[in-house]
Amino acid sequence: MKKTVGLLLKISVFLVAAAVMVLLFILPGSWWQPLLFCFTFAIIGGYLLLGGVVGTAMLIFGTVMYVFLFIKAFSGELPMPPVVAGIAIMYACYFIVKTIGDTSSYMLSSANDDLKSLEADYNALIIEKKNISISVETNKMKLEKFEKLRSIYESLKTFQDFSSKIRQLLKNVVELFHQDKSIALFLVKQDKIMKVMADRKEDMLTGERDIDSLYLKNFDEFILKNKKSIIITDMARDIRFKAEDAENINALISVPVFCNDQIAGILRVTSDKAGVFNQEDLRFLDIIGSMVGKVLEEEHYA
Amino acid sequence: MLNKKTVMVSGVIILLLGIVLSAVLPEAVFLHAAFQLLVVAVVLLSAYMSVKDILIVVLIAVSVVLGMGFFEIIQQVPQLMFETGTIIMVLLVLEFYENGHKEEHHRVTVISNYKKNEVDNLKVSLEALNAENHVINENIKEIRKILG
Repeated sequence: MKKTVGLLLKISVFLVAAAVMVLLFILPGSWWQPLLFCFTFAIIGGYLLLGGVVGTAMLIFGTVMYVFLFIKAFSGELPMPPVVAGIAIMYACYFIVKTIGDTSSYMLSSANDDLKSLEADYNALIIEKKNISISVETNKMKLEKFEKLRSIYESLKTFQDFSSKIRQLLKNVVELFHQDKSIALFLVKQDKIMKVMADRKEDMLTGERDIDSLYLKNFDEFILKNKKSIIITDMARDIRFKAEDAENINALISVPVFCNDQIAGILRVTSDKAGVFNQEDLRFLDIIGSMVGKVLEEEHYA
Repeated sequence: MLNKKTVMVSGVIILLLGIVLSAVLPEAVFLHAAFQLLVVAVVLLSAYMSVKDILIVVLIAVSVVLGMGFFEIIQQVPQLMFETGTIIMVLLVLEFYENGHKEEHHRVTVISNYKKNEVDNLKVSLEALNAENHVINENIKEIRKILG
């Protein structure tokens, strides 16, 4: 219904303009001024319903018609005052409607701008929420690991001797890493090396004194020498260090273990799968290394 | 845009002026120039008044001017009716425009309000998430201190 009325009004704008032009030549002089008054409708309708261009075109068209009326007024066929008043009213209406139309458009575009700004804020907040949710989930997992680590640390107090403590620590710590991995602690004292190992498949601990298995690898030597942690996410792509084929090590993280500010050994977690370690794992292993260091200090290892 | 009071007062003055001048000015010289001023008043008033109210005012004004026909102040009544028709057509256009504009503005306002609510809700949930994250981080820090 509304669309039909709108369409009819739009069509009537052009119809009125055309009819006025025709009727001006048919009807007697007493109708000329009322006819041209109709142009006010064409101008207002054109401006508000069809846009500024149509409104302005109607104004120009109306002005041309009034020029015709001016000629008639000069020739004495029509009094001059109503013609002057008519054109003044027509222009006054045009400028008032123009102001109304421009103000309405400004208000609408301003509301649309506010809406766009709100949509941008909304999208930014959605991304922020997504990021914080990921962060919360990650931190929850981290906290879970830390809580387990704390309980392992607290459980160490129940063990009396050094080897039981280290066994308990390594056996439980390896479970905190998600994939199949094994953890090894190398203790170095007066150029003699002791290796303590644990993995997830077998819940066992091996203290090795077999000389052949105690050779430090190049990355172990790097840590002992430089006292720095290392992470190798993919051994095949690493240009610094190479593992021996028999070892089946494709990724590793390793940290130095300090006892009374002296390097006492290294702690190393390895995996046969590449890309399973990240910086967070390394930081976590660093904390475990500190715990091992504490145990060594308590046991007067140095 | 001029302020509401100025526009309304100007509109009413022009309306009254149109009626008074229609009675005072000789029709033979000025024709219906004074009556045609009503269209300016209508457009001015439409900026702040509802078109329905303006229609009532205009109909009263037109009745007064048409009444002058009974006292032979105005002779060309058919032309006056024709001009009245033009004013009513202008009112129709203004009503149609106002409705369309109001609808569009209302639509944008409704969406804006909905979005504002959504943004506020998101901010609340973000604050909750941040608080939760802070608590978790504090717990981690505490455990890290214990673990040395």
